[in-house]
Amino acid sequence: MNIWNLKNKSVLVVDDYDKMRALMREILAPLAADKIMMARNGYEAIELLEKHTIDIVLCDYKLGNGKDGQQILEEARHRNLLNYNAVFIMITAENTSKMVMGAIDYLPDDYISKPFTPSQLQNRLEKVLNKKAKLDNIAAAINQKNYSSAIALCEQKLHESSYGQTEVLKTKGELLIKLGRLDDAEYFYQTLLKERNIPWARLALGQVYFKKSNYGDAAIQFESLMQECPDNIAAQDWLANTLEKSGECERCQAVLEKAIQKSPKSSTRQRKLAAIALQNGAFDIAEKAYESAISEGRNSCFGNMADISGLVKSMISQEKIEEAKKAIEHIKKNYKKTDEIRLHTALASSIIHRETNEPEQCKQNLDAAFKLMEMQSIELDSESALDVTQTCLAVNNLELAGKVVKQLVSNHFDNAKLLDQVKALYEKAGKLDEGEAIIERSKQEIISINNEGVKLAQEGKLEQSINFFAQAAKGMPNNATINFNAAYSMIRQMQTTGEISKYLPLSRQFLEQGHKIDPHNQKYFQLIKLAEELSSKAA
Amino acid sequence: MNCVDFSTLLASCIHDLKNEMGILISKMDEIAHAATDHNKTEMEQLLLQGKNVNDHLVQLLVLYRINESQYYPYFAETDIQVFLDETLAHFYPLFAQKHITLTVNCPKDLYWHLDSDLMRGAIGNIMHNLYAHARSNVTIAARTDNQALVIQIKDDGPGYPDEMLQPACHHQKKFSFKSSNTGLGLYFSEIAAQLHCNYDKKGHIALSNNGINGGGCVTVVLP
Repeated sequence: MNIWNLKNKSVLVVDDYDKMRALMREILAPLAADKIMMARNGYEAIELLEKHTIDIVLCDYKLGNGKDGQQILEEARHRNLLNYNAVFIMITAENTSKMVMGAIDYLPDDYISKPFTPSQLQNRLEKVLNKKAKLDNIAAAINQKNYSSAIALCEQKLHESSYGQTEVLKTKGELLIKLGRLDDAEYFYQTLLKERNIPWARLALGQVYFKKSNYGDAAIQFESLMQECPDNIAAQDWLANTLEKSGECERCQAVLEKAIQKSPKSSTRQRKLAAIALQNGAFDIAEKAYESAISEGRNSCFGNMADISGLVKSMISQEKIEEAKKAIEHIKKNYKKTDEIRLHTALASSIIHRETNEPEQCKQNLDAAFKLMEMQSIELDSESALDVTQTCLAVNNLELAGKVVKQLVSNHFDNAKLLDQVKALYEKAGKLDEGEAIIERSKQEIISINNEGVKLAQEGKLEQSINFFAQAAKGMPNNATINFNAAYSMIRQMQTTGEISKYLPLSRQFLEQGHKIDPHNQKYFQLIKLAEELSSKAA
Repeated sequence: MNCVDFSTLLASCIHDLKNEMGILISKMDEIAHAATDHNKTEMEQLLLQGKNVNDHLVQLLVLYRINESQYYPYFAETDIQVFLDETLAHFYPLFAQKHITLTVNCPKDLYWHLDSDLMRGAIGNIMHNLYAHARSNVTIAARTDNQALVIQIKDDGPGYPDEMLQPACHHQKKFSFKSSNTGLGLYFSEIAAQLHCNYDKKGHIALSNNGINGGGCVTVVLP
């Protein structure tokens, strides 16, 4: 009866209600899927996604206590648990607005609202799959990370016909951006927009301008999108990013506040608002936003417990010391006692005692935090590291401060603004000389490590250089340069021997890690091109 | 009664009606499935009528939201052949009962950017109008012309009366509760077309009597 079917496809159904799962199985049965898997909650879903290659996810948005559907989607896409052309369909209650779900960068391929008939679901599936089918070989190239050849395939398709190719156009643009070909991307989107005012193309053009640090033109695109449709949350998020970069902090806060009114469930957006409000001195707004960032981040892969320190800081600034203490107690009591929670509640407590001049309690919490960091080799984000440095200096523990600064410098030795912030902390504590000395020493250390590895590579001792950088990257996983250099030595080695199986995936891992740390670093784009050439030569 | 304004009251009322209608329709759907051959056609007729009512309620809500500046069309590149097939699917059995033949003429690989929800409602309304007038033939043709999508729906009925052939922007003033059809359907279609814009170009609908043998002809133009 069905002309199309799900042969060779594996399907994952996520629903907490057993009758619904049974019903879905019934609906899917005649479509002859290769495999139908069931998950009752987010954790089961993520586990199945980790273990299996799944082509279609049918996920209920509301799943009881744990992760919701949007959080599953975000984690699956963010952690690359889904192939490029995998389909994710969100099943929602009738009155759930799409915005309520809080999506920023991760949208499902389609929404379907309950109740639906079997044929409605089948029709939706067929439509989405047809759309994705246009990407068949392009998606295969992307899954193999052969981005340039994927672009070539896009161009070939577009040459055949430029109509009905929205998916291909979107993909081509994304790939141009991914490979850092920003001029090409700009021209590509501008050409599209000449003929028709297409919102997704305008959003992407704005992002290209943003990446080119052309914040003026970026803002124009995002603002025009918001004028056409005030509900365009993505445009608001990007406008906020743009305003932040151009130093318009008050406007940035206003835009984020408006976006959050409409779509409050994203912990990332809440965190952004909280940070900018704290900076702007709008402490009550910061407090509320940090609270939301913590609670919305609870089951999200974008949750970050460093928010506890932010919450405490915004409360202290309003002289709500007791409330701040209570907030920490509340988290200790109600959250699972992970090392991350222990660490960040200790750090937040140390901040409170620092501000209330209780050095003994402050020291106790600092010690507890350092023990955890060393035991679990946890690295602090730079905001937390600055806080800890300040606290260490306040209790006059130069040794611990030095440890934190050393790590901070080793990861960010070329970030002058951050190093100035460190210096300012030492200066405020009346220890400018010590501060400058430790920064300089750490900087030299990292530079000499780097030089040693580069020298090995230059002398042709590529295996040694690879081992050296890989070892260094283990100790400094958040140092972009070390990651890029590890990848570079591997690429040189592959170029010399012609043997790619050993290092290609590993070198890509280092590249992606470096890119994640420092998205603007051009080295990534140069190296990823070399990696591609190697892989296409081998194929 | 001055606690809320009347249109908000109506809108929330329509919203509830629409939901109740949804329940009614799904019940009717169940019954129609289980019906015997004898009354199956009747049930299906009922179901169609029910869906029609539901469509009108949805359209009223959309008009309300447009009026309150709460509606923003969502344009997506759409396969027009598939779109017409889906939009017309439930009209085939309806028209077949009056022995009216529907002929669709749409080139393959014709794509256009449109809000398919809005346009499905718009075309649906036009078809409902035709149902009363057409004698034996209705043709639906789609093509592109001068950087616009043109969908032309022709029938072989008596054609539109003169007052209907005035410029389309006057339709809204011609609501009349005297006839069985207030003209709301056509008004919605006109608004739906107008919401389709590309930079400074706007969509529109034109009525004429250039249909089959002097019958009615509705032309939908989307930039």
